[in-house]
Amino acid sequence: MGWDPPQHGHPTHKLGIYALGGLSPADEQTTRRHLENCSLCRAQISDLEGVAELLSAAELVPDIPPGLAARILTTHPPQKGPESAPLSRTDSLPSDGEQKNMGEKTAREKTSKEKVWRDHKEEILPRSISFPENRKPDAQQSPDSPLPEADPSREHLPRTETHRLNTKHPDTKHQPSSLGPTMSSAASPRENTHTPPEPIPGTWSPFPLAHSGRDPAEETARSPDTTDPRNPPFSGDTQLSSSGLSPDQVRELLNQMPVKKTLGRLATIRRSIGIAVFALATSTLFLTIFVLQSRSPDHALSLSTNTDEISGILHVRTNASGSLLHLEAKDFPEGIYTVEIMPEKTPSEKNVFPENSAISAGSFQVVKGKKTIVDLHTAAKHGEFRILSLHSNIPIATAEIPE
Amino acid sequence: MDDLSDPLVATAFANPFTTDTALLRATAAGSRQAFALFVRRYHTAAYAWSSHALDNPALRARFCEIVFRKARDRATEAPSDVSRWLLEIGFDTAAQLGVPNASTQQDLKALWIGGVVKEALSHLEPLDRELLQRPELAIDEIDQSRITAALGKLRALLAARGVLRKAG
Repeated sequence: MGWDPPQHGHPTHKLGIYALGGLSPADEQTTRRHLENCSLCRAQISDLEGVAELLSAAELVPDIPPGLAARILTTHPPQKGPESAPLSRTDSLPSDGEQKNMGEKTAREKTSKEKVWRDHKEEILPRSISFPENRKPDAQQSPDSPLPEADPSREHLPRTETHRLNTKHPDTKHQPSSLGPTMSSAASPRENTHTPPEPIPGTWSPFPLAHSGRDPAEETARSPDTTDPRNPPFSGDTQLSSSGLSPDQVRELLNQMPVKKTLGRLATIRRSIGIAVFALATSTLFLTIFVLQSRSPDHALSLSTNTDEISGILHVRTNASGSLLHLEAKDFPEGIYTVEIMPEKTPSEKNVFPENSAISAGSFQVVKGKKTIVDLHTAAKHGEFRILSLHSNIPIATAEIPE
Repeated sequence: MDDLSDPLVATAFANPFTTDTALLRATAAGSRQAFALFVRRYHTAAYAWSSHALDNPALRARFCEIVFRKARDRATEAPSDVSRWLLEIGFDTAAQLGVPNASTQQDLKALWIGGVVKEALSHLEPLDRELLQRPELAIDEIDQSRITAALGKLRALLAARGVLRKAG
């Protein structure tokens, strides 16, 4: 803010502080004497005194809580309706008496909410906890306890079995067996222990070493010699041998079992996915380039100034929304240029924009060794533009034609 | 219409002397930024007013929300004296809330004007604000001239808010 130097004969600079009452008694008397004789300063001081009187009102205003304006602005806008509609019950504020009781009421509501939550917790939580160790003895349960009665059919089961039933763990026992009596009987000794499910031969298992229920080291020590036909490595051999195949044939068949096929299929799928991803990325890249090029055409224009023929290239690009022109000047001599860009109107836009209404004008300076880019706003949202005019301040004598 | 491409809003942001009526017209046209500027301009006054009428700070903020929500709904009215119009909305709200004889309390009006003045002061430079509040700090003609210029600017700001008539 600048300050006006004291005008000759008028104590203008003192009028403000005079209105605020900050002058020394001597200065105040001098200024008052001047005001009695000067109507110009009197008019000015009456305006300033009106403002000075209002300054005291600002001192009464308390500090505003931070974020109040943001809170007002983030409040959801009201629904459209009658403007003179009275405040709803939720909008009304309590009276003074109600305000005084608000603290107690809030505390009561809080206590009530806590009670509701406590009751809710007592009602809900026991239902969701169904593990045996969390069950209360039946004698301690109240008659109206929401706990379900214990299933007598499960009481005789060992804990592991109960857990298995609760968790609905897959078990070969509960699946329709398609492997014949040999496989079913092999599973029976481990029926009451919590073990991983018996893998189907030839398929992938999440428990490759633990499926037999023995220690892996013991399993390794007891693993049979695969070359010994009397000790087949796979329990299914017995079943297959009973169908008339020799162990060698069985082993050969096992080599062709779905493990390798599955692995091969997985590798094929992985390759296919890789090829698909690569193709998708490539097509996206090309599509992006195509879209950018189609939306941002470069116009290499040879332009002339008002003083001399100067060949230069003015690249014109638009931004994504088409509302901004990026002009990049190349090979122009140093100087200051003014340019006018006119969008090539489509037939529909010719009805919207009158003639020359969408011209964008701007100026740019070309400095040697620096990239010159100028942005112009445009009202037309498409990418075809033409240069209406280009003027330069370069005199004819110094204008150079770049190679 | 939430960007500065709106001429009214762009002008309002560039120039704190934009009139309230222009802000309300832009608000009625759907500009949230104009409404934000309007809230920023008057929320001090509304809160100062409510601080005298209501004891609970949370209720004061709620009162401000209601007043500005009503102002937004009635922005199409765009009266010439927006400050008085908004003050009347505050009185109506207070009457509906059961604050007795709010419109006849002069101290409430003084608080409202004080809030407007305080917001207008925030547009001055800190040194000018300090000189206005403590004119005894002016030690030379430059400081005295700053005070005169600051009072002139403050007058123009208040005139744009309808508190004072425009000079001349």
